[in-house]
Formats: sequence, structure tokens, C-alpha cells
Amino acid sequence: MNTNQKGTAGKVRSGYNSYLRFTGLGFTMIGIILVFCFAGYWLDERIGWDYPVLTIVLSLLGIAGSMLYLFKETAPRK
Amino acid sequence: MKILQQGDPPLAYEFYLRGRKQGYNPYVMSIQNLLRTASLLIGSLFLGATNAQHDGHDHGTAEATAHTTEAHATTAHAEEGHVKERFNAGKLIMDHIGDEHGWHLFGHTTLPLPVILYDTQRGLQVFSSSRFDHGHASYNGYALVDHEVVAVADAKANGHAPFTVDEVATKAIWDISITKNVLSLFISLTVLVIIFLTVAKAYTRRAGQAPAGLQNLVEPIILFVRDDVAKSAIGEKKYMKYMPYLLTAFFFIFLNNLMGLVPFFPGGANLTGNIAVTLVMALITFIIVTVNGNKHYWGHIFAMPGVPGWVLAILTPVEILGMFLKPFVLMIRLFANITAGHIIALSFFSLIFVFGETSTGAGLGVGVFSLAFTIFMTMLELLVAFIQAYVFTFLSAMYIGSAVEEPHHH
Amino acid sequence: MLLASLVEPSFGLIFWMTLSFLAVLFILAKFAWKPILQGLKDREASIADALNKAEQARAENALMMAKNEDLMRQAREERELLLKEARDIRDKEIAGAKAKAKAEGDALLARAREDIRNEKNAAITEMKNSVAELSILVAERILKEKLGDAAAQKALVDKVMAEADMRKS
Repeated sequence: MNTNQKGTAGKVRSGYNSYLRFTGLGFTMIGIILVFCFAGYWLDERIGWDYPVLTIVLSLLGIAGSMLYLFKETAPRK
Repeated sequence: MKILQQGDPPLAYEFYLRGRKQGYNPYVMSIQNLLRTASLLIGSLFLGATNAQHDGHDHGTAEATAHTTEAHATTAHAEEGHVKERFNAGKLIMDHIGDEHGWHLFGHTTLPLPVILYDTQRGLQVFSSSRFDHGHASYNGYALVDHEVVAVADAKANGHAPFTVDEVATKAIWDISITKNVLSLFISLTVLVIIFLTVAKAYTRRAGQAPAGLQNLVEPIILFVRDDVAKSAIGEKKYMKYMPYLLTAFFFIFLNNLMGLVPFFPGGANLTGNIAVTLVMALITFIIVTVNGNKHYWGHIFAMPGVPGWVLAILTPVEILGMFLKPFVLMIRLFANITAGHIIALSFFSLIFVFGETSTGAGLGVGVFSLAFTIFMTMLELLVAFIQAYVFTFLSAMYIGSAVEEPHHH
Repeated sequence: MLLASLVEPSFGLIFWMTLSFLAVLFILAKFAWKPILQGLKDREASIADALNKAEQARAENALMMAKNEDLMRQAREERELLLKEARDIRDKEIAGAKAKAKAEGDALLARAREDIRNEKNAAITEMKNSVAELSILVAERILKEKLGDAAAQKALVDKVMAEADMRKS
């Protein structure tokens, strides 16, 4: 536990702390997808088209965005 | 045993009624009733939750939100013995993890707490929660419905349930009463202040010496927060500035998690499992991050370097969303973990009474297992109390760390 | 629904939580965390300092020990040398004394032998003389008492003389 303490000040130590970094990731990803979906739904309601184009497009974008977010967060820190 | 009155806790009252219906003399209780009442009394002591406010029927929750509270109307029928009140585990659990005006201490005793209302039409109103008589009476135009203060139609009368809720006037009420949770909040904060001022004194008085007493107890945790949370997540250079918040947050959450596990008076409130509390804490973290975020942090949110423009079109909204979602997750996690733990522990405990309703033997049989499981859950909750305080503090620190991180030269 | 009331933050609690938490945060930051963290830091610094000092003292001690060791070694060597010299001198002296004693003894022995020889010679001579006197005495007596003729006397004398010679050698 203490082996990494010296020298790497400011970096998250390996071990249990680094796993904690990712514990909120799932929630955040779901949150991103949900917000995109609701934004699309809301916009569709406002515009009033017959076909919910924006709901579909924005949900897909939300999924893509959450994936991007996942990659970004899990990328090794330089 | 005194003769039970209306307004007594529903469970004890129920047995009184049942006994009378079956032709028993209420003064001479059968062994069975004695056993049951004793276990209920212990149960209510243990949970601090069988509050004196009772709806008197099984499906009250949905209708209670209706304008006229028929729920309270049926209380009167219960008195006549028409409605057989059953043990309601869901209500017991919700009462325990929820908030209320007045703090049920033990048996039939409830500590009345000040009700403070700011009514935009009528100004500041302060009175004791005992005026509501556990939701049976209105006072000065206000009444309790489903643990919430509402304005009733006839402002003058100090009437009895059922009430006619004045929706418009209710909207004008800002309820800043000292509820059970608020009092618990004050108690825990006072305890924190006393503990740490004492410890601080010890540090100045016994400067340079080995820790002693209370100091010994908290120092490892302080060092843990400093070394394993702040230094590791924020960095050696900048961690010091955020130590006060991280330490306060850690000890606040830890203490309240522990107090939530204590079933009787100063404990028993479910503060860290209350969304308002976790909301404020997450909000403070969010403000600290937003205020202290450096150029590097904002740069990564609005224009991630080294990312092509079309990706940025998706990534930037996602990052902005993430900025708000991170503290949101922080809020939900603490709230959900603590509340879920309480619900599980209470559910196991309630099993005793649910089975006890069918027969005393079953109640006792299940009780043994239930109690063992409740104890096990409480042990687990002790661990969770620490872990959740740690997780909240660590993730706050991580989040702050990402905001003040200096760009790396690569 | 009750669950909805659970996830819906109440205004009063937010109000009091914000107010009291911030107040306590402020109080603790100023009057508790500051001295505590400072105290911890100071103590750690003093411990680190003490450790450093101990390390230094240890190093110094080691140096001293090495020096002492060196001195001791030198002293030992010197002593060895002295002892060796002393031993040599003693050995030489002993050898000299031995030689002298031997020479003296030899001389003494030689003189003793000379004396013995001289004594022996003197004794022999004396014995010879006394034998001769005795012989004459014997002869005289024999002559006086038994022997009438000269021949017989001579034969007897010779015989006696031969015997005396044999005994002497």
C-alpha cells in the first residue's frame, strides 16, 4: 500500500483507490444516455413531428457520447 | 398498565382493542398478549419508529395525497373497532427512514419539536409540533398530512381530521421546521464541533507528543483522509487547501451513518440516507470544483485537446453533462446506499411482526433468525458506514483533483 | 407515493443543512482542522528531524567506532612488537646465561676432575708407600719369625708385591 506513496505524489496510487475512480462511471453513462433521450423527446414534443426523429437521433448520440466518455475516463493518464 | 387512549401508538392500541373485542379484561392481559406487547414495545424502542401518527387503514398512502384526507377520517372508525389494523412493515420502514415533526422517543412519548413556517402570506409562524396532535388536529390554519405541513381551508378553526387542504395557501408555505432530521443534524454537528475542538486543544497543548485519548481515536482517520484520500487524489502540492472540507465531510458522514444505526434517541434518524443532506454535500463539492477549476480543467471540458471537431460536437455536451452528473451520482450513491441498508435491516426485523400476526409461535421462530440477520446487517452497516464516508470523500477529492490538476508536459 | 417523498429533498432540511454545515465547516476549519493538521505536520517534522539526527549520530558513532578500532589495532600491533622484542631480549639473555653457566659448570667439572685425579694419584702413592711399609713390616715379622733363608724371603716378597699390584690396578 505504501510502496507507491513516495515519488508519485499527485498520482492516484494503484490498488483499491484506482478502482474507486470508476465506480461512478456506470451511473454517469446511464445519466448521459437518459439526458440525451429526454432532450430528444422534449424537442420532438415541442416541434410536433409525426415521427420522433430527434428522440432516436439523440438517444443514439447519447449512447455514442457515453461510449466516448467511457473511453476518455478510462484512458491511461498521461 | 394504564388504560390506553386514542392517540397512543397504533400497535399497542390495536392489541388493546383486540383484547376488548375478544372479551378480555384490558387490565388482565393474557400471556400471549403480554408477550406480543412486550416484543412490540422492544421493537418500537429498537427502531424508534413506531410513531404515534397512524393512518388506521392499509391503503392510506395513495389516498393520503388526496385533498381531503380520508385516511384520518378512518382513525375515528378504528376507535370503534371496525377496522382491524394490521402491522404495516412498509409504513414502519418509511417512517423510520423518512422525516417527521416531533421525535418519537419510546413507548408513547414523543419529543415535540418547533414547527417553523415562513408563510409568504401570513409571515413567520412558530409553534410546537405537539399542537398537531400527531396529525389529528389543525392549528392556526395548518395541519399535518402525510408528515407534511399543509394549510387547511378554515384558517381560524383548530379543527380535527379530516382536513380540507387549501392547495394555494399550501404553496405559500416554506417549512423550515426543526424536524427530527434537523435536530439530528444539529446534534451530530455539535458532537463534531465538541470532539474536534477538544482534539485540537490536545494538539496545541501536547504539541509534538504522542497522541492520547480521543486524539488516538481520530488521528488514524485524519491521517487516512490526509494520506489516502487527499494526497492520493489531489496531489501533494494542493491537497492542503481542501483538507478542511474533506475532513468535515468524512466525519460528518461517518458520524451520521453510525448514529443512524443506533436505534434510540440521539440516533435513529436517517440523515445520510436523506436526499436533502446528500444534495447539499454534493452541491458543496460541485461548487468547490467549479470555483477552483483551472484552465486545464475547463479546456478539457469545452475543447478536449487532440480531438477532431466532429467528435468534439458530441464530446463537449457529454463533458458538460458529466460535470453535473458527477456530483449527482455522488448524491445518489450515498443516499441510496444508506437508505437501502436501513430498509434491508428493517425488513428483516419487520418479519418478526409480520409472522407474529399469524401466530406467536411463527413470530418467535422467525424472530430468532430475523434478529440474527438484523444483527448481521447492522454489523455490515458498520462497515458500510465507514466505506460510504470514504467513498464520498474520495470521489469528491478525485473530482477536485481533476479540477486543479496541472497540465502534464508530454 | 412515499417513495417519491423519499427522493424529493425537503426545503427545510436543505436550508438547515446548508446553513449549519457551512457554519460547522467554517468553525472546524478555523479552530480544529488548522491546529490539528499543523500539529500533525509539526510532529511529523520533529519525528523526521529526530530520525535524521539519530541517523547522523549513528553515522558519527560509526565513524568514532572505526577510529577507535584503528587506534586499538595500532596499540595492539605496538604491544605485539614490544612483546616480541622483549621475548627476543629475554631469549638472548637466557641463551647467554645458559652458555655462561655451562662454561662455568664445565670449568668446575674440569677442575673437580683434576682434583679427583690428583687426589687419586696422591692416594695411590700414599697407599703404595703404606703398602711398602706394611710389606716391610710384614717382611720384617716374617723374617724375624719364620723365614730363615733369603730365597724363601724373596719369593714371598714378590708374591706379596704382585698381589698388591693386582689389587691396585
